[in-house]
Amino acid sequence: MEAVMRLARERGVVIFTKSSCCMCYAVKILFHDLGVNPMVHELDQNPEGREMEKALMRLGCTTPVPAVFIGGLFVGSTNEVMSLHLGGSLNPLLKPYRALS
Amino acid sequence: WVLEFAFSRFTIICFSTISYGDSSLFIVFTIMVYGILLPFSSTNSVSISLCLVVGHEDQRLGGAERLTTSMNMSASSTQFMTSRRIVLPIHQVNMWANAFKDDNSPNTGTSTILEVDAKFDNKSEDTSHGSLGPLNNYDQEATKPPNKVSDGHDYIADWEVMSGEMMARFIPSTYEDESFVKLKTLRQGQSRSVDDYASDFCMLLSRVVLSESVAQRDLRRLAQNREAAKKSRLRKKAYVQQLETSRSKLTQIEQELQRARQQGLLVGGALDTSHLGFSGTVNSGVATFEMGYSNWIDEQDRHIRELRTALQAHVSEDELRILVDSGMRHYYDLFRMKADAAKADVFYLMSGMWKSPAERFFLWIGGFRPSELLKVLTPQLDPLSEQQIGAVYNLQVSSQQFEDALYQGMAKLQQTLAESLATDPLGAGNYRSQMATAMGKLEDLVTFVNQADQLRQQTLKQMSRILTTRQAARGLLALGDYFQRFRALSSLWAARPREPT
Repeated sequence: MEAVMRLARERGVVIFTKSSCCMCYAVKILFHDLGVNPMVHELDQNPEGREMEKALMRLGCTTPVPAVFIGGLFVGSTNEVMSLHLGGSLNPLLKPYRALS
Repeated sequence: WVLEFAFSRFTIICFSTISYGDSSLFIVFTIMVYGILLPFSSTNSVSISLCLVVGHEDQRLGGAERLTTSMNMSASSTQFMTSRRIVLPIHQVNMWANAFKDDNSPNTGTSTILEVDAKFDNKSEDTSHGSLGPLNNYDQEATKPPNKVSDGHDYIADWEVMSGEMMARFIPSTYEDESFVKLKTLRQGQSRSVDDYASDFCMLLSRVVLSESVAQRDLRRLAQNREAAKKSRLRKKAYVQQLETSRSKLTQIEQELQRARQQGLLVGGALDTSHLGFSGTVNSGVATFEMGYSNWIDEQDRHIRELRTALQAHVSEDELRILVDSGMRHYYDLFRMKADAAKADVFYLMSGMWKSPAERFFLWIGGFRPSELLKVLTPQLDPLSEQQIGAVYNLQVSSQQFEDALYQGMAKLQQTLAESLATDPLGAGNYRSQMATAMGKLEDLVTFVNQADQLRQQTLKQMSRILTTRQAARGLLALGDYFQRFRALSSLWAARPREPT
C-alpha cells in the first residue's frame, strides 16, 4: 500500500495499469486528449505488482486497473472518471496538471 | 361568551353547576355521558374539548357556582389539529382547586381556561377509566399522599408523561397509517404558500415513523418474491420458445443438407452452420433478452403515447414529473437487461441483432452513440437558457471525448486479438496458451460494451439534471419518437416493392 501511495504522490496524475488491459489504454488516451500527461505504472512490469494490485483492490475498486490518482488522491476506476467527466468536474481537477504547451 | 362558543361548533353542551364539593362526582358523571354520546359521533376523528372553566365568584353565575364544567363534542371533520392550544399541567389546576378548597373567600382573581384537545376513538370504556385520573385529586376527602390519586395510579406531574399517556389512549389505531398516506400525497397545490406547505410537512413528518415496519417489510418481501417468480417464469418461457425455434430450424437445415448432397454440392465434411446464424447451442440469456426487449418496446410505445398526450394537454408539472421519472426508469431497465445479455453473449449485443436494421446502421459498441444523439435532439428542446445551452454543449464534448477514448481502446483490443491469433501455424508456439490469451481479450470486450452502456446511461442522467421537468418530458418524447421512426423505416424498407429477379 505504501508503494502505491508513494507512487501516487510522485506526479499530479498517476494511473496504475496492466500492459494487457485495453481499458487502461482507453483511459490513457482520454487523459492525453484532455491535455495531461499521466505517469503510468504497469503492474505486470513491476516486481511489487501483485502486492500493489491487492492494495488497489482494498481501496474499493472492483477491478484493480485502471486506477487513477489525481493530486495524490484516489479518484477511482473508469466509471468514476467517466462520471466526473460527464458531470464537468474532471477538467477543473486536472487544471493544475495540464502540460504547458 | 359561552353561547358564542357553543354556536360556533354545533355542540352538545352539558352544563351543570354544582357546588364545589361534588365536583369530582360531576366529572365522572360527565365522562360517562360522553361515553354514551360518543357512539353517535359521525367519524372517528371527533375532537373533544374538555373545558374546565375555573371562575371566580361572580354575581352572574350565582354564589354557589364556583366551578363550571363544560364539555362539548364537536363532530368536526378536521383532520389535523391545526391549532395547538396551550395545555396546563394538571397539577397546576390541582393547586388552584386546593386554593378554592381552603380559601372560602371569593375572587382569587384568576379566570383560566384549561382545554385539552384530544381525539377519541370509539373505545368509550377508556374514558371512564383512570385516564383523567389526576382530576380526581379534586376529591374533598383526599387525605392521600400527594403523589397518588384515588384509584392508586401514580400522580402525573410531568407534561411529557401526560401527553404520552393521552396519545397512547386516545389516538386511533389508523392515525399513523393515515398520516403516512397524507405525507406521501401532500402537495403544495396552487393556493398554498410554501410556509404552509412546509409547516404541514414538518408536522406530518413528526407523526410518522418512516422506517419500515414489520408488516411493510413482509409485504415488500412478498412482492419481491412474486417478481422473482415472475422473472423465472418468463425465462423458462423464453427458453422453451427458443428450443422450439431451434428444433424447427434444425429440421429445415437437415432438409437443405439432404437436397444439397443430392445435388452434389457438398463433398462432405463439417457443415459450417455458424454463418446461418444458428450457433447450435441454445443460449437462454439471449432468449431472455429478446423476450424482455420485445416487452420493453411495447412499454416504450405506451410511454411515448402518454408523454405526447400529456404534453399536448399541458398537464401539471407534477404529472409530467411522474412520467419523466418512469420514462427514465424504463431506460435504466433496458441497460440492466443489456448488462445481463452481455454476460451471456457479448457478440449478440455487438452485432445489434436485437435492433431493427436501420438502427443497426448507427450501431456504436452495441447501442447508440450519445454525442450524436445529443446533437440531433437538442434543437427540439428549445428554448434553453444560456446556462443550459452551455451545460448541454459541455456534456456533448465530454461524451465525445470519452467515446473517442473507448473507441481507440476497442481498436487496440482488435489489434491485440488479431496478433494473438495470427501466429505462425508451423511454428513452435503453444496453441493452447494463445487461445487462452485470445479468450482473455474477449472478456475485455464485455468490459467495453458495459462501459459504453454506462456512458449512455450517465449521459441520459446528466441531461435529466440539466433540463427542467417539461424540457425533460419533451426530450424523452423526442428520443422515443426518434427510435420509433427508425423501426418504422426498417419495416417500410423490408416491405418495399423490389425488382423481380
